[in-house]
Amino acid sequence: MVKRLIAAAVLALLGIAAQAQTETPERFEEVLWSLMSYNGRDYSPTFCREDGDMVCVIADAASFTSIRTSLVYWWPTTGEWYTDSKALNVVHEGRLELRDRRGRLVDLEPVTYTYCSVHERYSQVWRVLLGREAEEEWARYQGLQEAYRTARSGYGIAKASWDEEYADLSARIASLRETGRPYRAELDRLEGMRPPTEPAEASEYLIPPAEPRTGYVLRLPPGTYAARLVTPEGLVLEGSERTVVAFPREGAGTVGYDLIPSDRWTKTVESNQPSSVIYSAGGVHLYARPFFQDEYNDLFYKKAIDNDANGNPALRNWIKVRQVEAARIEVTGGHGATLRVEEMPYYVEQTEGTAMGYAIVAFDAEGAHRGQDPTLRAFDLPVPTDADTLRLRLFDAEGRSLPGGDREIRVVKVAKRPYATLLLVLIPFFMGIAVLAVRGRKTGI
Amino acid sequence: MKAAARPRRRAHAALVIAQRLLFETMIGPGIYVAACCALLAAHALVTEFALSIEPGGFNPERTALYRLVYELIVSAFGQTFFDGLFAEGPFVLAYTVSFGLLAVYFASGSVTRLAMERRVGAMELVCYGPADGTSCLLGALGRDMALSLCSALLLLAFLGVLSLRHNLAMGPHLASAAAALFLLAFAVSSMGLLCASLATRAASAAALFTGLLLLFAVLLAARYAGVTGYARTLASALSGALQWFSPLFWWDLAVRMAERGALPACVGLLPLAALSASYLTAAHLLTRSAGSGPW
Amino acid sequence: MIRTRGLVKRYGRLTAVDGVSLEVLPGEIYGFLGPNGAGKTSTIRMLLGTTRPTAGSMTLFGEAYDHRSLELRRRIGVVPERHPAGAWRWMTAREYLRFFAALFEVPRAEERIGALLERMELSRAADRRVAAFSKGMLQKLSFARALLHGPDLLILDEPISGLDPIGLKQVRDLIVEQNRDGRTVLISSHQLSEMERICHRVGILSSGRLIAQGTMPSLIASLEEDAEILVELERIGPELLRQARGLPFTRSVSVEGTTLVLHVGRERDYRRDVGEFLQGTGQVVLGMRERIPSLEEAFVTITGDNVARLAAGSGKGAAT
Repeated sequence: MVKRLIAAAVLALLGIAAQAQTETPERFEEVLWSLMSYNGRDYSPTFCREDGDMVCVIADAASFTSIRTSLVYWWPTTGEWYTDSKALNVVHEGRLELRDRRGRLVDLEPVTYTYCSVHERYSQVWRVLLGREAEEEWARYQGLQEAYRTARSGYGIAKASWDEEYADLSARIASLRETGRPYRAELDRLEGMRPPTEPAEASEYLIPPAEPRTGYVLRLPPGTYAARLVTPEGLVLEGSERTVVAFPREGAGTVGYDLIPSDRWTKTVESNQPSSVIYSAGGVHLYARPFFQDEYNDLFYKKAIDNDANGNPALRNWIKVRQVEAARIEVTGGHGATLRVEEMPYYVEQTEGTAMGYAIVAFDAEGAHRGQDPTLRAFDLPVPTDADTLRLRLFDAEGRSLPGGDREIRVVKVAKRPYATLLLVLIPFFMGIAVLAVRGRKTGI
Repeated sequence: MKAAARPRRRAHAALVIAQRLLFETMIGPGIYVAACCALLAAHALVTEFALSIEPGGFNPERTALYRLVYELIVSAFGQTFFDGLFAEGPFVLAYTVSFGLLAVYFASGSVTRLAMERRVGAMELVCYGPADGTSCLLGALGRDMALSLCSALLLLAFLGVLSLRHNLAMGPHLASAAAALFLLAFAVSSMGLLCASLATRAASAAALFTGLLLLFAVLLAARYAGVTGYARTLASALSGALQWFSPLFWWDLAVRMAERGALPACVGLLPLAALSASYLTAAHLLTRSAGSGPW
Repeated sequence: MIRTRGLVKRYGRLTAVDGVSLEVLPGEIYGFLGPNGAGKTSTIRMLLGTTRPTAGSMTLFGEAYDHRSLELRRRIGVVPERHPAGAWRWMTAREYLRFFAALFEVPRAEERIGALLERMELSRAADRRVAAFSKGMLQKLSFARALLHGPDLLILDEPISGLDPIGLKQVRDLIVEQNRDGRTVLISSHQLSEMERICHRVGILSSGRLIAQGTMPSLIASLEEDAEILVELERIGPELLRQARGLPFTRSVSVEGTTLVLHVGRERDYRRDVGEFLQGTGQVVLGMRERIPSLEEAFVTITGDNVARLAAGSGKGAAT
């Protein structure tokens, strides 16, 4: 009886929790700044709510914003804010006024723009197209969609016809077999029938371009600006005021690495600073991807990517902007042997069976991975357990060493008794005992 | 008395006083306990780091100590700060914690010692001889610096052993951190001597020194912490007024500028050296005007 | 050896030392007396340079003395009233002396330390911690420290307070011995009976002012106009009394038991005249002496009712 009551209570609690999870979050109507912020390599979409403390954009680079009224809500599961633009999305027009600290007005031009996401050699990138290019891209996409729909329609008719013919021929073969008549020719014909090819949608876009919209280009010199939207009626749109921070690139020209361990591909290790050391316990392959890096203020950059993010305003951070192309890595091991490693495409496969896991395998464009794209292009660096220190050197296509591209990979040794060195810690203690004993004997205490 | 003879006398007296203070330190138990604690802290941070290394790299979740370190640092200062701190390995943090512990111990010992000796008349007794209050200050400073230097060498040697044992790198950041921290210790000791000159009793001097050090540490932490809103405004206002007197502020500025290559570290540390000189000058003037007798 | 002119020390509104002009002659033992709070310690601190004078000047060893001067301090040895409590607790007596020997750059320091410890009867305790020393041992250790560098001038602040009779004698003998060796000694003390025994001259400070300075006889002479001759007799009759009063050199005569007290002038010693008188009377004289006021009596008088008179007549009274 007691067990039943406990089970009932647990179920009730679970039910309440589930109810809380699925309960519709409260939505608030706010004037938002929608942003497509340049992040050094492509674009990141984000938005700034009414109580956002600042809008951050990289200085002297084009970012885009539009001012609109929409609904926002907090999603506790992910701990983030979202917009519900399907329910409400009113784009405001007018003049976006920005004043710098000296009160000078900065003119912004409203432009037509669109954006899409494509897969380039190394990764997905966002592209923003302006003005006529935006219109043309949209038209081209519309054209591709129309062609696909037409091809789809044709395919449907052809498939239906083929299905009908296949069914008729199958019935005839069955009838001939039943009556003991030869049906070889009909069978050959049936086996030779090929169904029509299903048309494929245009695959050049990962996310297709949106219908061009009007927004403002935030290409600003470094500084802090007070911004607001002035409607065509000459009124300041309430809720549109923001502080805009245009932050400069602080440094450039070094190389950083992302290293993906073969035993845990979801956990990427970053090595951003030229003096940083890569530590490993060994017995793993590290798939290294070198990037050119730019340096930005940590807080401002994080807010440019995600306006609700937190960062450290006193620190700088290296940001990977572009993977180094046509590079080569030389690895020198403890015994002086040098291994030359070329960049190769790899594919991440989910391992079969009940155990959850992934395996990084060589990309087989003609075989197992036909019709797919490689998951990553990287350098395979084997790190054996008995290695001591491996030194990486990065070279470009012309064979020149790239600055900041040298790294050390150290295989960390952990002794069987890692705390044996605690004895060293006790040396001052024993010294103190000895000193006090000698003093005590000498001074008679 | 010839003008040139006084500095020589004072220097000689400072040296003798420093030797005596060193001797008294070495025959007491405190320094050995402090050294053990410092080495223990360094050992824990380095060994646990080694145990946190997986085939795929550094995972702070693997050990309880680094789980705690990770939570504390990331929640206060952010992921970027944590990544930068451990970019080369654990030695910058390990050295900073252990050396910092010892430097504060030495400085606070001098602060209480100086104030006590002044109060009971021991300083006056020394100054009956060819010494003055400034000699006593310089002697205390000399003692602190000698101990700090020995501690730095001992710690670096100890960390070197751990480095060899675990194949961890002692990189350029550690060298520049060690140099910068030594100068910071000089500045903190100088500040302590000023506190000892201001206070009438050992307890007051210790409280003043500890309070100032904590205040400056909190202001520096607030600079890096992810606080927003009113807390940040308050921290900014306090920093604006007080940071110029803080050795931690100038030390941090020099370290950041050196990291960014804006200035060589030796140039960047000049303001810190100037601040130390200011503290010592103020302490000298106070001691000279008040005399070396008990308050 | 030491001369001050108009030395003044103020602490805020409080004037601790008010125009002190004292002189300590080479080779003498000078007693510096005064009630608590008279300004003795402040004066000594100014002499030693640990406190800056508000006004006035000093010469030391014939040179104008700057309180910041470190060189002249090498010629001075100081025994303070108390060993600083809590300081140098962990050091042994030998280590303590080594420290000061290094400070004063004493040549052949170990030899000198050994000799001084022997002289102070501290050899057996040389390697014991100062924390374990008794008050008397600390005082002797202080003396040893003060003598380490062979100073020309010793300044002692209450050197004998709190000592037992044996310790007191040892210290007194030591002071006298050092003076005999040529050292000038300035002693600040409340032990007036002891000061009376060993000091050549004294200076009396009251409320920051030096109100009397000079040898014992000159000080006493400045207090009393008459000398007192005490004659102890078998019996004193009225006839004797009448005759004594009639003597030309007696100013007054009184009786204290069997002692005849004759008040006479100080222009010369009248004891011979008294002796001749008594011989003439056929009295049996059991004893005769001149009564000299003690330093304690002089001190109390000086710092009490006679302050104003002495201050007015200080040109005659404070004879050196």
